[in-house]
Amino acid sequence: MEEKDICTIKIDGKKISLAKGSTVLEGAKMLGIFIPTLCYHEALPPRGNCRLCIVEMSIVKRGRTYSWIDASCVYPVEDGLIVQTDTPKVRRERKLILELLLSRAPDSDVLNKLAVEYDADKNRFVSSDNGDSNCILCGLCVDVCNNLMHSSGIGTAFRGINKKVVSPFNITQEVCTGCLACISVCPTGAIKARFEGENLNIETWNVKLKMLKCHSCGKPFYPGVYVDMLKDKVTMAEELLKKCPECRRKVFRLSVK
Amino acid sequence: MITTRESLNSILNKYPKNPEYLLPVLQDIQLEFHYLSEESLKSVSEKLGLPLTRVYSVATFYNAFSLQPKGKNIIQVCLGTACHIKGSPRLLDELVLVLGIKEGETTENGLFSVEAVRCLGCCSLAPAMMINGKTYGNVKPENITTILEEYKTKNHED
Repeated sequence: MEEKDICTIKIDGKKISLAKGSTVLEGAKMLGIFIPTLCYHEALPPRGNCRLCIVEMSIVKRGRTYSWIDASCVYPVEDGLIVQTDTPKVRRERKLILELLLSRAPDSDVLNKLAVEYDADKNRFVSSDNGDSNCILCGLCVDVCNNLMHSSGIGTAFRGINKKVVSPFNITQEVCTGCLACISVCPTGAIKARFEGENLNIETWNVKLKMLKCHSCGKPFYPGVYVDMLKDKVTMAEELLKKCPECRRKVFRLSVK
Repeated sequence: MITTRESLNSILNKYPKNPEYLLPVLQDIQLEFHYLSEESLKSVSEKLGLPLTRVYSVATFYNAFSLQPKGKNIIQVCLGTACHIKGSPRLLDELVLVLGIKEGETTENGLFSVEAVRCLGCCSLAPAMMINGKTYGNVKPENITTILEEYKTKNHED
């Protein structure tokens, strides 16, 4: 890498050199400096929706110092940038952001823990849905479903204060494979799913899928459609795919001997 | 008589299979049927090769589209700044009284739908309202019954 492609920035007094195009948040992660985030996920491009990762930045240009607050997850590094992640100003702004987010997702554990840390008042604002959905509309679930799993089972609908994440017409769609990636990326735990005997029931999307029973032990383990999808994606014998992970491990263990 | 399915297909066949035609297709369907049915959105998604979620997102985002059946005559009352000051909320109140429906609803006989819009672009005529694209300026609440009568009789003749 050439010298002009490297930017040296300072985060909380620590110097770090990063490739051009990296973000401030990536730099902080490398230095082990914690910045709270909700809508950031390593597997997906940063979106700058939740605004919780705001930091105070300043730079000296033409003899003048410019300073401002911006979201670190989407801010590309610049040579000479000085970043402070935990100043009183940043904390004050984060408190307001938390209060706004809490009005939408009052039951989220992550948000409540942060509220204690930043002294945020949970009841300061009232949201249009009174926080029933617990969703902060970060869009991670929609992104993971459409762009990573390529299922396109869910999307955003309506707009403004009525915007929400839904499956179209709230009907069970054949495209959902029950991979549960949406649940794994959701920062507020807004998506609800249950195993009901032989069915997987994702209540939030109104999806019910039949579970496949393990061919060896008979225990239901993955939704049938999910296993069908795996067939095209992984190179594994079909016989093995139809076994639950534990039974599969037993087979592998035998083959290792 | 052309069936719903056939006229839907004729709209869909006008456009090539390309996601960029999503909005024109939806506009045509809205114009033809006065709303976007679940079935029509599914056909659009199949025809354009787009996921249903994407079609649904777009259809619910724009105010120009409606997922509920709309009336034959769409009354748009301007609640923009100029009209608001000139008393357009009273027009809306009068309409609600005369038709017995709330804003955003359709009368039972399917004749009228009432919508509140933000600006019709003719502030000099404030307070203004628009029925099926025809603009009525300087409307007074007492004139509303006369204006509506015109559309009621027109539809009887059809």
